[in-house]
Amino acid sequence: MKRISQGDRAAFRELYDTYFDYAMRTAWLVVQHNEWAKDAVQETFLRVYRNSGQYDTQKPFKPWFYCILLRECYRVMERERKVVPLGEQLERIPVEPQLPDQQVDIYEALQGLDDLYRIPLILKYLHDYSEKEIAEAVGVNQNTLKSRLYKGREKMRQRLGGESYGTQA
Amino acid sequence: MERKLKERMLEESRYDASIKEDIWAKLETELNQTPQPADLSPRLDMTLQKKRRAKLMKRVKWTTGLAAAVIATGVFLSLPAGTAFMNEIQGWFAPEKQVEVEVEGQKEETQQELHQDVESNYVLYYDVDRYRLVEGERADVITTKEPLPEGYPEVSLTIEQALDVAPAALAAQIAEQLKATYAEVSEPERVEEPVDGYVVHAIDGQEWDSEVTRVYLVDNGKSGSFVLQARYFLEASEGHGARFEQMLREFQVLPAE
Repeated sequence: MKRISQGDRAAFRELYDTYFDYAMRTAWLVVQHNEWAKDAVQETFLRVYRNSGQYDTQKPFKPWFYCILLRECYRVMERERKVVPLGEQLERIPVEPQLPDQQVDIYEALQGLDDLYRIPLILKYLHDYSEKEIAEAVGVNQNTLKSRLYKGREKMRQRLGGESYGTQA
Repeated sequence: MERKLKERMLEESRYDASIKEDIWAKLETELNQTPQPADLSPRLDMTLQKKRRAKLMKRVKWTTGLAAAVIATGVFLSLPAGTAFMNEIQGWFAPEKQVEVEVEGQKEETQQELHQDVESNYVLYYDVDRYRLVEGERADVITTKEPLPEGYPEVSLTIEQALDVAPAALAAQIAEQLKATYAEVSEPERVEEPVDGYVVHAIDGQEWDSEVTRVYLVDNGKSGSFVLQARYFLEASEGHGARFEQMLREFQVLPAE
């Protein structure tokens, strides 16, 4: 980051190569739209470059990076929702069904959750991040995060018909 | 199932390989217009940086608070009355699992059993081969399965709640109380492992059987604290002490209904 803050474009490319794949995947899973995900990722890297001088090197990079990425995802979703007709917005709002459904697969169960639970679960299971890292990225304390992960998994379990999973962490 | 979820996420988030270079090209165009990052640190003294950070944090907190209120209101309005907090604590956690524990430098597999206290809103796993859990009205106590021979100090892990005292304040009170019975008592310390909270450490001498206690204070999510007190003796620090630490890693406060 020090090199990037001094304008070293090669160092920035190295960082881009290292983080692009998971950033793109995370953004896609969060916003569930190809163009929105691209916008969020592009803006994230731009912000990382422009703000590299403000990055505190004593702190871990990943939570800082994912905090920016998630903020950009929210920003893009917010922007796009404003221009989407209300009827279409309502169709997109995930409904959290109360009854188990054998037809629903695990991915659909995940994407049917509120963002509050969905995003921490994406970070945990896509990236295998620790609860501490996720808590820092989403800006909550670790106990709150644990509760959200628990509740999110519980909602998924109900949706999947009581199938228990995710306890071997 | 975790692997399955990860596989499905990787599958669903597949993207065209050309996207990476497309975005890079756009980034380069942007960067060429603003070639140098905003490297503020050499130009600002620490005071100014702190002021800026405080100002930013104030704005972030205010914005976050507002956003949270908006989201909370939205969620509240979108749910049928009474459904939001009606999820009962059910048997989601695996009833038992294998956990690797490092004891005296050696790694070993232990069989851990779930203890789920719905009334007190917590769960943890404990090593059923070595310990038993005694549920009490005020506290749950994990202690050795076989009683220790006479002359050995107590070995236990006690879990109880203080309903009206926050962890930081309670840590200070407990540190004061421990000074009456232990020769050395540490100042309360903020920790993130094995639990997110505060710890007070106390030891009563440097003999093999000197009593040791570590008390962890964790936010119970309802303006009170969980008090997790491990008791053992100096010689057992790397044995029972390490096993209790591992068990505490599995301690989770359940969301309030």
